Amino acid sequence: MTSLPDEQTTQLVAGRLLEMADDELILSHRNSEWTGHAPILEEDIAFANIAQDEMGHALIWYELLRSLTGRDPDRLVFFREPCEYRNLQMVELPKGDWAFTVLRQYLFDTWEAGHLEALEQSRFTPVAEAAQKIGKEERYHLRHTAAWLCRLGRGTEESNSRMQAALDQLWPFHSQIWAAPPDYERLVTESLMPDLARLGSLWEDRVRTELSEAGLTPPGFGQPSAPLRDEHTEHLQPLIEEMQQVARLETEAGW
Amino acid sequence: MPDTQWPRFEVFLIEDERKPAEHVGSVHAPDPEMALLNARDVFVRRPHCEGLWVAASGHVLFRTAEELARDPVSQNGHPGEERRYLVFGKPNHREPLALAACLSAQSPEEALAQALKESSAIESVLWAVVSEAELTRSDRNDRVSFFEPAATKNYKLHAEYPTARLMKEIRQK
Repeated sequence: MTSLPDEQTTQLVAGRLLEMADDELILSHRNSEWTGHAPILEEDIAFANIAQDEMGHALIWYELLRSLTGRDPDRLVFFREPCEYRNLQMVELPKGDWAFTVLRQYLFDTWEAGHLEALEQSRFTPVAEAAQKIGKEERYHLRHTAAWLCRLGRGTEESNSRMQAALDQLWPFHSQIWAAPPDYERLVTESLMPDLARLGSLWEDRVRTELSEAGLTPPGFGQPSAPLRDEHTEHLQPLIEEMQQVARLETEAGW
Repeated sequence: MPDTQWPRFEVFLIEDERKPAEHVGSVHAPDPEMALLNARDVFVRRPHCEGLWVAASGHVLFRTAEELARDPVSQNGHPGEERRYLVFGKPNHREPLALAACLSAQSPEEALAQALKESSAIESVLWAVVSEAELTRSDRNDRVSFFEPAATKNYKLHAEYPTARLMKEIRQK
């Protein structure tokens, strides 16, 4: 189907699209901080490509959101307050060292692989088509990130310990990835959006296996419950300030 | 200056399956898989591409026409087991170093000597020879994620941005 049945469903889909777009945007911004600083020139180019791809994916979701609600992507990105962002806490954490960046990208890419595959089955055609388009690029991202994961995890003592430290730091944030917004269940029942809890459990099985193959162990217990998407760490505000700085200097300027 | 980075890999690109593979440059990488991924990011972000090959630079024999004139390759070289070799030639300084011959030989030197003998009509300013066994190639399954996304990315000329138009208008006033 190409249009949604009623206003309530439209608002629910729009709410979820905003979460997905914000995840891509904020991760893209964090990744772009490596431009000019990646370990070697080739990786600098590769990672800048990935950052740009994620930005493109964010735009796809924001544009779809605009078609449902009329909200302008530029206004959403440059003129929202940090507390209005709906991204995961995992993607707003500072870029850290290269191990932290690789591990975060790996967790996000593996989640996206399963999430996008499920979104391709959405009865709402624009979502299914967008997921198919984004999925092609994400398969490449995952191959790139998985290659780094295994080389750093199984590299030297230092690379392994840095990866393990990154995993210890990121793991407490991982369960937020499958936390569904209020009333999301309706979208699952109507096959508009996938069951996040089911995807989450498949994802966790997969990453546990692959992390252990890479010589890494997720911390086993004492995980805090997933925060809501309107709760953020202290790291989001400075990121948003920097990202919005130029646009807010001259609000009427065209690009 | 010595190269202090990871090992170098030569990159060959197949723009279109009806055209021969071309040498496009090199990338640094710790191993062939990473070299293939780096080659994709460095060389195939925008242009059309149907295949990529990489080979460790140490396994690629390069000879310029000047070097060959000074020091002709000997058929005997360092004989090893018989392998398939790819020989690339560059007809002049403008055209690419493209696949010119594929033949069996016991060493890269022997492969080059054979190619020179068989294709004496072909002028080349530079030759490159690599054993097929040393190549790591993208496969058909990689196409969708490696090369298809590039087709949907338009390169936007700077003049197409409204800001550029605006600046031009201001300057003309």
